[in-house]
Amino acid sequence: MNRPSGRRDPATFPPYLHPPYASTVARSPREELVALEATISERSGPRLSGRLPEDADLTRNAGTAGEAIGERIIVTGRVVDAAGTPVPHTLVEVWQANAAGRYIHQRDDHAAPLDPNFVGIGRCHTDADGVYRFTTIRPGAYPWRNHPNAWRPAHIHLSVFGPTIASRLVTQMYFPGDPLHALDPILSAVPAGARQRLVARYDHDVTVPEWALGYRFDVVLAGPGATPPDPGTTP
Amino acid sequence: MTAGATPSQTLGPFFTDALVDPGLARATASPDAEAEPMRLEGRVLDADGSGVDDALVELWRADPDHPDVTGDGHGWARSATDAEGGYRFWLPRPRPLPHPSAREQAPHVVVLVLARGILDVLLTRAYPVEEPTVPDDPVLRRVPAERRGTLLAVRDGEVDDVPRYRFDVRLQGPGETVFFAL
Ligand SMILES: [Fe+2]
Repeated sequence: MNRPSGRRDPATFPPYLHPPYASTVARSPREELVALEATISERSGPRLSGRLPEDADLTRNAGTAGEAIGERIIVTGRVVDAAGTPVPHTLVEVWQANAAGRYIHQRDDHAAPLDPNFVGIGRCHTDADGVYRFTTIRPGAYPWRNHPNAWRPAHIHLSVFGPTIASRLVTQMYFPGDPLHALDPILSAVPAGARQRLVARYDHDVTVPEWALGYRFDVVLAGPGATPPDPGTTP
Repeated sequence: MTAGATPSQTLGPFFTDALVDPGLARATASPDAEAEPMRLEGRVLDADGSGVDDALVELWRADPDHPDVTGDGHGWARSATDAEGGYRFWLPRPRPLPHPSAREQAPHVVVLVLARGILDVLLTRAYPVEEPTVPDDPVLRRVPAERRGTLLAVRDGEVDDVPRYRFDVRLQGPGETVFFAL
C-alpha cells in the first residue's frame, strides 16, 4: 500500500542513493528503512521560539551599519501540514550564498567576493496563519566539484520543523526560469513530477513598490501516515 | 484538494554558522519532568567507516507529560559533528513512553541525521542501556533481530559525574544503523 502523504512517498522524495550526486554514494543507507507506526516520540516536537529568536532581514543582520549588496527580494509562503492545515509558530531557518555566489564558510573557496554586510543567515517563526516572511538578496549561482563544470543553480536552503519531529524538513528553494535547473543533480534527484514544487513563484502581489521583488514559496509538510506502510513496499 | 508534499534536499556543507551554536547541544526538560542528566555521544560514519565531519545531528526526547508540542525548546538539541565525525549531547534521561499497543516503550530518544550527500532527514532511535542487551520494546520488535543492536546506546563510563552512553550512526555498510520510515 502506498500512502501519498507518507513521509517517504517515492513520487515526492528523492532516493537516498542518487549516483549523479556523488556524495550520496557512501552516505546512503542500503538496507530498507524499517516501517514504524508513529508513537508519541514521532507525534510530538519542540517549539523553539524561546531558544531561537526571529532574525528575518538578511539584508541588515550582519552586525554592520551597512546593507547587503544584491537584488533585494522578499520570500514568503505558508507552511501547511499534509492535510493542508496551516502550521503556526514553527521555526523556519534559512541560509544562502551572497549575490556573488559565495558563502561565509571556511570550506567555501569559490573565487567570488564576500560582502561584509551579508552573512546569509536568517530565522523566522510562522505567524498564526502559518505564514513566514524573509527579506534578503537574490543569491548567486556557484560552482562545485561534483563533476566537470558543475554549478549549483541559485537557491536558498530552508530548515522547517512543523507540528511534529516526523514533519522535519530540510530543503532548498530555487528561482523560476533558471537554465541550471536541468543540469543540477541535487534538484534532479527529486522525482520529475515533484521537482517544480521546489521552484518559487514570482508574485507581483508580494513585490513591494520601489523596494523589493516578491517570491512565494509554500511548504507542504509530509507527516507520518495514518497506517504504517506495508513492509514489502517500503522504499 | 491539498498540494503535494514539498520534497527534501540535502543540507549541503555550508550550514554551520546558520544552524549550529554550542548552547544547542544541551536538551532541557520541562520543569515538572524528572531531570537526571546523561550524555549521548557518538560518531557518524560513512560506508568506509570514515567519520562524517560535516553532519548535523538532532535529538528529540518526547515527554510523556506533554504528548504534543512541548514548550520553548524542551527535549530538543542539535550538534554538528567534529573532524572525527563526533557529536555529543547533554539531556535529561528519557522515560518510558506509552505506545498504541498499550505496551510501554523502553526509554529512548529520536535521533535525526543530516549531511551533504543525505537527500532527506534520516530518522533513527537511540535506547540508552547499561549493558548491550536489547530491551523489551514494541518498536524494537518490528526491527529484524540481527539489527536491533544498532539502536542501543550502551553505557560508557561517565564524564564529570554524568553517565555517558555511546551511539554511533553507521550510514552504510557492516552494522548499518536501522533508519525508520514513517
Ligand atoms: Fe547551497
